[in-house]
Amino acid sequence: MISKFETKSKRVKGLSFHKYRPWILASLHNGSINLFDYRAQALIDKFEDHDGPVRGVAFHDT
Amino acid sequence: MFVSGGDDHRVKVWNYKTKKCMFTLTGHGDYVRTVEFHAELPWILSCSDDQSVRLWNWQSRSAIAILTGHSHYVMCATFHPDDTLIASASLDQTVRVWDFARLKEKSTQKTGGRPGEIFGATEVEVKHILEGHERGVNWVAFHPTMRIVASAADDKSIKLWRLSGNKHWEMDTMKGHANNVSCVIFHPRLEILLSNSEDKTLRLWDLNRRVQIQQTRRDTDRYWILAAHPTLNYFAAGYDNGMSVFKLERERHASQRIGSSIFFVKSKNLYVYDLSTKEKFLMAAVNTNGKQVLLNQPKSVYYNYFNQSGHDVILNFDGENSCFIIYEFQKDLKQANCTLEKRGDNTLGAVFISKDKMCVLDMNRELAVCNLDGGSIKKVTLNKKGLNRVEMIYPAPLGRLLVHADDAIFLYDLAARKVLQELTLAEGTVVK
Repeated sequence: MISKFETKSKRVKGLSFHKYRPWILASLHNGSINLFDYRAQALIDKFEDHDGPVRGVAFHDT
Repeated sequence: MFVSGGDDHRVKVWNYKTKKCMFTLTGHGDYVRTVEFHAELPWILSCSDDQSVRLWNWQSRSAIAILTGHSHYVMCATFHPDDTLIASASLDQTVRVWDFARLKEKSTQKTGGRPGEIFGATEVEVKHILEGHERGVNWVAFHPTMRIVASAADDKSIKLWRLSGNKHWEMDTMKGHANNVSCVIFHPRLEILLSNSEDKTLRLWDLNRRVQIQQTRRDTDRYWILAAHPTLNYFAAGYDNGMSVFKLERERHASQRIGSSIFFVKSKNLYVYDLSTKEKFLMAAVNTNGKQVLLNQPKSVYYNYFNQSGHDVILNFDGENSCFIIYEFQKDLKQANCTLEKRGDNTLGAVFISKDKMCVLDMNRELAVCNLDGGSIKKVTLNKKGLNRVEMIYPAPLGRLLVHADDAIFLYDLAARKVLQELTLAEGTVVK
């Protein structure tokens, strides 16, 4: 296995790849949803509206 | 657009461009475990500790069906890639497969259904109840093309199920994980399963032989989730302290260029490509003899440039059961006639050091000089102060060896037993 990108955060419970962009969503046990660009190795955005752990996350194909 | 579900019982739909939550779907009475969009229909699938699986229409922003039947938390629910099926996994130790053909029909008819009507058992029927796990089931996945379902459970096992018409049966159980299996997914294109577990390992399994082919372990992190990129060879795993995006193998084929010849391996064959004539010749079929070398793509290809009278090639494979294979060929490469094929098991790397000798690094990180037929001549102890761990060896001029050890790369003369030159590596340098 060849690691391409690693992040440090609270517990990651949900993950979803974008179909076309080099993006991955990670939903965390601390209530945050993080959007990363795994090619640029950067955090793009944080989405925080859930109250409590976010266990599931999924991109729409568009 | 993306969807999320959380312990606040809510399913939220977000616009990542405006960075806002567009709307919230309420109805679940407990933690929401997984959420998913349907590939074509304007639907969201969710499941919850309230023991239900729910379907929502994200255009009308309302619930369209509640699937009840599980008698414990529903940990995972997923759409079939093209059929009208949903699979759900529950701590009630079962996987249920539901058919929503009638609901799809109704929802696409203009006359069908009153506004706000929520459907249930008559529109979405249980087609299969997969029983066999001895503890709660955490995850379920559909095979991308075959009628096979994989499930991961707290009984530490992964099970494969075959669905056929209204029948189903358990195909196999794969054991190896030492704790609750969190997640299992099919490789989108290869006959491989990936799983991860609270035992801090991520494992790869051969789907046909149903044996483990590789594993990685994290020191302190339990694994929770896996995802596969739909089209590219990327995977991601989530654990206690973060996540990682990874590939299973190199996409660039290992090769070596000597003059106008390029030696490379593709699709389990060793080829030589002639740059001047632009012709490709098959030299040998790469046969790892059942030795589980992941995907059969070598990490390196070395040609013996010390040998003027014949052609020798070494292929080095890595992974859990890494090995090397050496080939000897008669004079004409274009009619490559393999006269020797020999495999060395449990090695990390082998390189040519002279016309008829190679140096081999084994799994214990010990070096030995060997004949080309694999016979060991003598062990090599590197004469270097403070040497701790040899990572890898690389080809160098006659009688010499490039060694990557600890935080340095050095050129070593085997006969004189001394380091000729040394390069210290900055922390975090990747050596390829």
